[in-house]
Amino acid sequence: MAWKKTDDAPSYSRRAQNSLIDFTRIYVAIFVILTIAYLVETILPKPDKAILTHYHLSHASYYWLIDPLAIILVLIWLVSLYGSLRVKAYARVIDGSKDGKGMNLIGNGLLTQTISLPIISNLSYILNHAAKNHPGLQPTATIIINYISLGLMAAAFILVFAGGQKLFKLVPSRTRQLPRIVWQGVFILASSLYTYLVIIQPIHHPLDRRAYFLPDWLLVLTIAAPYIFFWYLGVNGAYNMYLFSRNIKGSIYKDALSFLASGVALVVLASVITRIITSLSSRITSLKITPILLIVYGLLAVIAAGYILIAIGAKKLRKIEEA
Amino acid sequence: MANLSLLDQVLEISQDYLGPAAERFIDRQISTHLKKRPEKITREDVYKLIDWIKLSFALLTNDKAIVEQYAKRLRLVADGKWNEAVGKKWAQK
Repeated sequence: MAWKKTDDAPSYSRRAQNSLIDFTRIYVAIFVILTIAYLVETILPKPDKAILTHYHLSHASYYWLIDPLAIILVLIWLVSLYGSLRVKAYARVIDGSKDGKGMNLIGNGLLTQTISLPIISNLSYILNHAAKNHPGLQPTATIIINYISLGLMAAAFILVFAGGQKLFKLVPSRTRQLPRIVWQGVFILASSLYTYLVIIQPIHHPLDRRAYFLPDWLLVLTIAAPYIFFWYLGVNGAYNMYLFSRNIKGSIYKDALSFLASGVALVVLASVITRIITSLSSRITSLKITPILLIVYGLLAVIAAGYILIAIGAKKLRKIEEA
Repeated sequence: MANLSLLDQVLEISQDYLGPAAERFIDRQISTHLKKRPEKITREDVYKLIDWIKLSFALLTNDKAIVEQYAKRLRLVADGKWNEAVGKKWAQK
């Protein structure tokens, strides 16, 4: 109970708030710089002639396709920034309470996932640009991008998992195991499909190796298996949040938390879809422009929905603490 | 339930609506509006608290029935009529 804290609790709280403001400022500044850099890198350069020829595009139609896409992507990043900061701010408000630690870890996980979006986009641009001028660098560039993407995703999902676990431990009664068994079964099937796409396909379609530039054994050990493992952690984190929201008291609180849990689940799902698309990249780029745009916009819709739900959930939770 | 303090009874009811946030919510209402330590509240305070809670709680939901239900249950505490049997009856609703 707040009153049982020591007398200097308010000053501690103020210090915590100040450090949060400092952290938020630095985080947002880095995010904005990376986002502006991404927009400049995407919108300003002249299009690659090979791309124009491949998709039968003029310069003008290229910009009509790319510019809205880049702007929509940045808008989604901003929604994710807003949602993640809201969760973090809420976690700081309830710092010291039973659910505070779990929420703080989830907030850190979402912030990691959010900053990874512009980091990976910028890194991809820089390394691929270097590889364009020095084609021998392409495999190295691809491998670096893949491992950094994996590392950032791993950090984010480990934090979400740890947060979900902490919240789940607060659930007073035993929960039914059947839904967990069902989703784990579905997860195993999806993982098998992913491994199939990563490994089996390149044997028949050597172009797919361009997505990884790694021998199969290294691809399985250091890309496919870790991705599956960290997705499992992410899905488990979201599921534990869902269980927490289902099994605790508090109709108003449950409603807000279910938004947050659904949002986290969608963000994890978007990560899975993104990876599957990457594995199929050579086949997807051979499609016509309309199906490619449908796939990209579909993926963006899933990511946007996830972060919008997170933002709504965090806003509702924060409102409870301000009432 | 008979052993529960007045504050615990208020918290128990509040948790049905606000879950883990209930304790923080009630602490805030009492310290801000009644200028008291939560554990020092009296029945008279609970009557005043109901008015403040109704105002604050209405900001969180548009469902007037829930707001009224919450207030009605708290009124039972203020009237000294909240006991184990009444709590169980409400829990079944």
